[in-house]
Amino acid sequence: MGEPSSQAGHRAVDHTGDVAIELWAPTEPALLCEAARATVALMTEAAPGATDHAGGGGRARVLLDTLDREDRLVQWVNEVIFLAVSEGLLVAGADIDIDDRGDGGVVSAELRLSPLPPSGLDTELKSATYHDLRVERGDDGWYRARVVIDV
Amino acid sequence: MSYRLDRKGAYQYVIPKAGAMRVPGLIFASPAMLPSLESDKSLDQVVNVASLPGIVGHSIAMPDIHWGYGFPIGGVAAFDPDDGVLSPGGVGYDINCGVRLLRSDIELEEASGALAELSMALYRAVPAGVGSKSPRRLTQKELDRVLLRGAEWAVNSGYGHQADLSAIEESGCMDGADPGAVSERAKERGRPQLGSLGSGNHFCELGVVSEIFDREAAADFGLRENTLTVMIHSGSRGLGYQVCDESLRAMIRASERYGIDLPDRQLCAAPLRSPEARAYFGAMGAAINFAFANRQMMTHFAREAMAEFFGRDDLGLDLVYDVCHNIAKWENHVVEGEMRRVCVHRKGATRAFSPGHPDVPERYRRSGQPVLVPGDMGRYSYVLAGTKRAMELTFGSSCHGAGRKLSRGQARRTAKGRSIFKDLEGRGIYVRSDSKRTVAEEISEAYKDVADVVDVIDSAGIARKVARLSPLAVVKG
Repeated sequence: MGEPSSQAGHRAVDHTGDVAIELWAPTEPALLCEAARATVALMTEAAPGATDHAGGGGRARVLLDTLDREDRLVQWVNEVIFLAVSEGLLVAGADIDIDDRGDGGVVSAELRLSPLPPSGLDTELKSATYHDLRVERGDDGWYRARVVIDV
Repeated sequence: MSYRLDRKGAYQYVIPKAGAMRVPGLIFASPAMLPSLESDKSLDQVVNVASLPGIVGHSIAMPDIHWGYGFPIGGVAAFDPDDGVLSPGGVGYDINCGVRLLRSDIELEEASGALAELSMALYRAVPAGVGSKSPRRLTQKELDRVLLRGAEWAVNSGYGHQADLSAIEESGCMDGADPGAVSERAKERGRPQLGSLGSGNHFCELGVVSEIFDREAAADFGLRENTLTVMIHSGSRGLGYQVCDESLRAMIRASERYGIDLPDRQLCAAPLRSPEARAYFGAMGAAINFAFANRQMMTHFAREAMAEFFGRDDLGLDLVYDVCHNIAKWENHVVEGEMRRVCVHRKGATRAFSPGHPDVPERYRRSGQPVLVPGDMGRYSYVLAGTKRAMELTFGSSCHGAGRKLSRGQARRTAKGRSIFKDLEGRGIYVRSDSKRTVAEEISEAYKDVADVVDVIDSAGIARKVARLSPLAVVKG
């Protein structure tokens, strides 16, 4: 599920009704950043990372109370979708801290946002799903994940 | 994984009970459909659903089944009130995604020279596309009324006629809806979208009745050969997606609390009598009502556009019926020879109640409930009628469409280098959409031939063919 390389990455995978993304990154926060890049790319048909470092949409703070590592990925992707469809803002970058002590865990993130392009969104994503969901940390310390998104 | 499939009767296959399955699987398919069914995880999903607590009868799959998440799309499952569960994954994200059909007195020849203009009139009238928004700005109080009263709110607000309500499943208003169970975030996401199609496989289609199979039922449904129809396919938009997403998390916790083993987390569920299930029923009911009101508003927009285009109001654009595709609700069915109240989940499946059933509008009691089965935008759609056999075999359920065959990526690759708009226009079908990408993803080749799906349904006797509709103009999201 994704070749480790020197940097995080992702690829979209065909799924009959929906779309799946596979992600890999050296840390869990980096994995979530990559998930945001992948989600924005799916919604905007932009090249992945096209909005990185873009600004103009301000900043926002996000706190997610999560059940576990897999739920963190689903909730995070859904936060990125919600900001785009309801607030008209794309996540262009994030500083993420994960506190996974105790039950579940808390994601706190400082988001850098950019406004939607004038043409709007190209694809409407409904939600990340828990189906066939995987987040694993390999022996090499890298995180690899797969999430199916309902389109 | 491969499964033993025992042929049971015409177009029926049984997956015998094994392992964690509490009931057998029952698949409606033709022999030709089996290889594609076995090539993905659809059958795994039928088997997973069969393992849920309190399931009764069979875990059922319609011939338009395809690989979903949790439940297969095209899946039907019913649960006992005492031992059974309610699963948001058995309803899906687009709660009460559904389809409705309007008939008319407009003869094809009256429109045939003007389809390009008529398709543009519908395109302008019905908000469509990614992030499409309503012309109506709702207050918080109005949105709560929508969530409580559904299509009735829309009709009372000037979008349609009182007579429309009796031609909608549940009369367009789900009992037990609780706007208070819908989060502010879900309301924020849905509020600007009421009265809009959205994108993906949603559409508003002008068609013509091209063939009648059952004259008596067609007459009861008001369908005459060579007259125009309008079909609208949409759901609860962002409000429903958000309700589902938030409910899943609550249900994952509930599954742990009640010790429910989950072969797939998306199947998370809670006992039907639990507080978690009650909360989801309330929120789901509200989203169902949002979808009923949504389709009702678009019906009004389409009627206005047609009346303006033809310069008269007496077009006979009456609602034939409105059916839900993604829903869970209490119904009475015979299980093991005994009439019982069960909670039926339909995910990508249509209710198909028989002639004489008390929940079928009186004017359709002779023929059975209209079952609307849209195909792809380049071929045809079908109108069927519910049967007694469906009551016996499938908890009064039938298929909901053609069923995807290609992934969206495969469809785009297949469409590459072709002008889908021009190809279809050459065949007399005018497609209007902001998104070439959506149209490429929705090409005919992306879907099974709905005629094959409907033949299985008709041959198995779980609905019968009444009429075929051919597309003339399609507004895609």
